[in-house]
Parts: sequence; C-alpha cells; structure tokens
Amino acid sequence: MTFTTSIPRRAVVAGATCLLILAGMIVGHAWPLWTGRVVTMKVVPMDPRDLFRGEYVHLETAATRLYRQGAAIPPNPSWSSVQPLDRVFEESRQGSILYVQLAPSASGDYVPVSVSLKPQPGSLNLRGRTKYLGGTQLNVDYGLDAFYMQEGKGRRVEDAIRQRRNVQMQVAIASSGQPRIKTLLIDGVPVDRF
Amino acid sequence: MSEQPSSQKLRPRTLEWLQAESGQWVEAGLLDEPSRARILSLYHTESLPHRGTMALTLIAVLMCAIGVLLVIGYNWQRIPAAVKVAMIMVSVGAAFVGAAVAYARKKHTLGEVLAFAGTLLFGNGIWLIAQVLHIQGHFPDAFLWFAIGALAAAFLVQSVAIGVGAAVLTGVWIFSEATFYSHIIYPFLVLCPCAVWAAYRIGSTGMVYLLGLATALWVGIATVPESHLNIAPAAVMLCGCALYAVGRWHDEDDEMGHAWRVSALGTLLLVVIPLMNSGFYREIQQTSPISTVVITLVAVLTAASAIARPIRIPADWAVLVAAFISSAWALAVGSGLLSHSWWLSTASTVAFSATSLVLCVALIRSAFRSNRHSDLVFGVLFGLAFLIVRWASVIENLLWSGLLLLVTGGGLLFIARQWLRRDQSLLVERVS
Repeated sequence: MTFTTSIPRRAVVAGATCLLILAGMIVGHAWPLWTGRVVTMKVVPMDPRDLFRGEYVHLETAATRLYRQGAAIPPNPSWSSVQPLDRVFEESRQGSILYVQLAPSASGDYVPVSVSLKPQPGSLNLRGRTKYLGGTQLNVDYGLDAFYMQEGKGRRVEDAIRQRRNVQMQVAIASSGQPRIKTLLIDGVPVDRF
Repeated sequence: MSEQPSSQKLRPRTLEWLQAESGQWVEAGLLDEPSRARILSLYHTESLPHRGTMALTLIAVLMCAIGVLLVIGYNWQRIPAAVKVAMIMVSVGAAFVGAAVAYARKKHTLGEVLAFAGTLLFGNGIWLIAQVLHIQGHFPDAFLWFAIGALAAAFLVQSVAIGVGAAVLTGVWIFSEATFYSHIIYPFLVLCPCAVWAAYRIGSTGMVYLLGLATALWVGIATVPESHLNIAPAAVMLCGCALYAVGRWHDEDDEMGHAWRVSALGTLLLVVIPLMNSGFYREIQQTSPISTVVITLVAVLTAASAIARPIRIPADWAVLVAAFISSAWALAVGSGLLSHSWWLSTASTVAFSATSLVLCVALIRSAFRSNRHSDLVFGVLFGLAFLIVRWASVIENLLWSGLLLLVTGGGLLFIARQWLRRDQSLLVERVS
C-alpha cells in the first residue's frame, strides 16, 4: 500500500488516534456518572494488611463476596446471602459476566439480594465479573475495589474502616449495570472534605 | 547541467581513515590526486565546537524537561482532575504535532523520536487517567489499548521502533491476561493479523519475530487448562511448526520468512523442554474442550502447508517430523490410546526427546548447508536442552554425568571447528 498523504499529516493522524483512545476511555468512564443512578453502598471491613496499597485504598462492599441463599453461612460477616435467579452458581466461570440485583436496606445503603447471568428488568443491576467460584460462593469484581487518594489521606480512610465508622461508597450505576465510584463518604462527609 | 552531489556526513575517525587510505592509493598509483580530491570532497565531518554546542543544548533541554516533570510531580496532588487530564492530553498531542513539524522539515530521526515519545506519553496517559478518574477495570485492557495506539502510530509514521514496541506490548497484554486464568483472548484474533500486516508494511522483522512468539503464547493460554494436562502441549508445539510453515511460504532468502522461522524454533525450544520430562505427564486427561481441538486442528493444517513448497534442507524435514509426532501424540492422548500412566509418560518422553535430537542434528546440518547462523544456534540449543534434561535424570551418578558432559563438550568443540573450517573454505572460494 502506498500512502497518498504526507508523513507529517500521518503523524498528526497517529496523535489523533492516541487522543481518541484516551478520550474514549474518559467518556467510557464518565458515561455511568452522567447517566447512572446514584446509590450508596456500605464499605465492609476487610483484611487490614491489604487495605492501603500505594496511593489508593482497597475497598470491598457487601456485593463483593456472595453465597447462595440457604447455604451454610461462612464465618466472615462481610459475606452476603443472595438468591440465584438462574443457574449462575453452576454455569458461571472465572471471568464471566454476571449481574447482581441491589435493593435498599433499612439503613438506606443498597445491598445485594439476588444474582443472575442476565440483567433483570425492573431491577437495579450491578454488572461484575466472576473472580472466584467455589460451589455455593462467588467473589465478584465490579471495578469498585480501588479509590485513589491524595498522599496521606488514604491512611485516614483506612483508620475509619478499622474503627468501624460508617464508610460508604457513592456509586453511579448505568442502565447497562456498569458502576463507577463517585466518591467515598465517611460518616456522611465526602472524603475530599474529610 | 548535472547536479552537484551533496556532501555526506562521516564520523571524524572514518574521514581520517579515508584521507589516509586514499593517500596511500595515490602513492601506489591506484588513484590520481584530482580524483582523490573529488572523492574527499564528497564527504565532510562535523566540527567539534558544533557537536559540543549540540551536547550542551541536549543536556539543557533534558534538565529543563526533568525540572518541569519534578515541579508537576510535586504539585500533582494539588492539581484538579480536569487539569491533570488536560495536561496528559496536551502532552500527547504536542509530541505528535512536534513529530509532524519535524517530518515536514525533513528531520526524520527527530520526527520518529518525537512520535516514539508521543506513544510513550499516550501509554503513560492511560494509567494516569485511570488513576485520576478512579478507573479500576480489567488491567490487561490497558496494555491492549496501549498496543492498539502504538500499532496505529507505528503504521502511520512507518516507524520500526514504535512497531517493535507495539509487538512487545501485544506480548505483555497476552501475558498479563494469562495472570488471570486460562481462556481464549478473542481480540487477539483481530489485533494479530493487523499487527502482522503493519509489520510487513513497515518491513520490521523484529515485529514478526515478537508476534510469532505472542501467537504461541496465545495458543498456550487458550488451550492449557489450569488443573490437569490434555492435548494442549501438542497444540503449542504444533503452533511452533505452523509458524515455521508460514516462514516457508516466503522465498528462501526473505528476511520476513527468516523471522517467522526464528520465532517458530524459539517456540519449539521452549515447549520441548517440559515435554522431555516424564513427570510432566502425571495428571493427564483424555477430554479437551472443543476450542482446544479446533485450535490444534488449525495448527496442524497450517503446519502441513509446509509441504506445498519443495523441501530443501534437513531442518524443514525435522520440523515436519516434530509436527507429525505432536499430532500423533495429540491423537493418542485425545482418543484414550495412551491412557496408562507408565506407557504415556515413557512413550511421550521418548518421542519428544527424539524430536529434540532430530531438530538438533537437522538444524546443524542445515546451517552448514545453507549458511544459516540462526539454524546453528538453535541446533546447538536443542542439543543442549536434550542433554541438560537427560542429565537431570542421571545427575546423581557421577560417572554418567561426567561422560555426558565430556560428550557434550566434545560435540560442541567439533561443531565449532567444523564451522571455522567452513568459514575459511568459503573465504578461500570468494578470494579465488
């Protein structure tokens, strides 16, 4: 193939291609924030050794670790019991997409109530990928497990989680189920003002 | 009127050598003085003060750039997210616009350097934007998008350096996908042909070599299960044979063909080492997913396409033998013929050890016959792989270990001596 355009123009097109990819990444990220429904989910306490890694806080919500309703309750209180709406526990594979249906709890935080391989119409579906599957247990990755912090502030969030204060995650969920973290709240106060 | 040829820049040492040599040619009567003066007028060298100024300017620019980065780094946390994103985008755009300006001024090296810097800034931008906007996705995707951008840039500015970078990123992407779990990475089926096409457009053998290895890695990740063994090792082995066959689709002296063959031999070498160990076959299962069977069949057909062209050198035969043994092994394991553990491990170890030896001998013979240095290197490596693996099984016996090492050393010395003799005889032939 012989190029009809000159090399300076092609260099500009190369730059435009790279910028387009970056712009796509930004729009893809912002889309759920622009169009999604904003809910709060409680951040659950987890292994403190692994909590603060570098410049970001490692987070888990009640929707991270799920087990089938009726199965023996694991000792960890952060596990959530969910009702399977289809053969998700049987057919899900590592890396496969699934949908967790959320509903508000008495405290107002959204919690998982059921799980399925397909989004459920009329429900608030949270889209995730199976990270680990063990019979009646599911570990799900939603892309919500990291929140980058200004240097020094991460430790305060870590302390707040350790002290069992009310740490919540404000999440925007698009109609496709794609979630994005809007901010973290500590006792109702956004973390950037904390 | 004939155009005056432009003066070509030489290193000072090279110009000094040319001046001294041409002086001797004049003394010997090979050249007259006016002709010597005309020849010397075709070349020039940079004066030292100019080079010194250039070096100072470069150091100044480098120090300023590092200074700017450090100042930005110090204030990074205080900069609002939107400004950070804008800074990233502007830096990428500026690098490519700079490259375009340099190309327009016929400064191609500077243009390529700036385009390369722009590609690096773009990759850096992916991670920085992810950090600024709290994007926590499937992290290998970052390498995928970096590879796509780099590939587009390499193709558009026809840069071998960026192209090789894109091929490396493709390999890193596949490897990072492998850190999750064994699965078929479908986007590779689109990206790889595009990258190979770009490699041919740019004329980069390095890209072809790296993409060949990435393909073998892809086959490994797509077929090798986590908990047990099935016909997957044969699929990877056959992928190596298929890459060799792709190399044979080219003319004998074609550089691209050579790059495919080198990546094929690299793949075969990496796969045959575990296959020569009897312990490798402990947990084997007859059943393989349909995707593994399909990938294996595609590899078999591609490897078999090598016979479409006349077979000239022993290495071509040896790779066909490797493909035949791998196919037979896959068939025997898949059909349950080799289900008994003792028979399976013994027959497999013997078959793949023999394959390694056949490849060793055939590649060394091919190297002598067709003057391929890479064949000699791989021939010796296959031989060493065979001897090291077999040595591991007799390492406790000092007598056998000693004998094996003596034979290996003797064999290598013999090959080196024969190669030296061949080089000397080729030199004599050329002179005569």
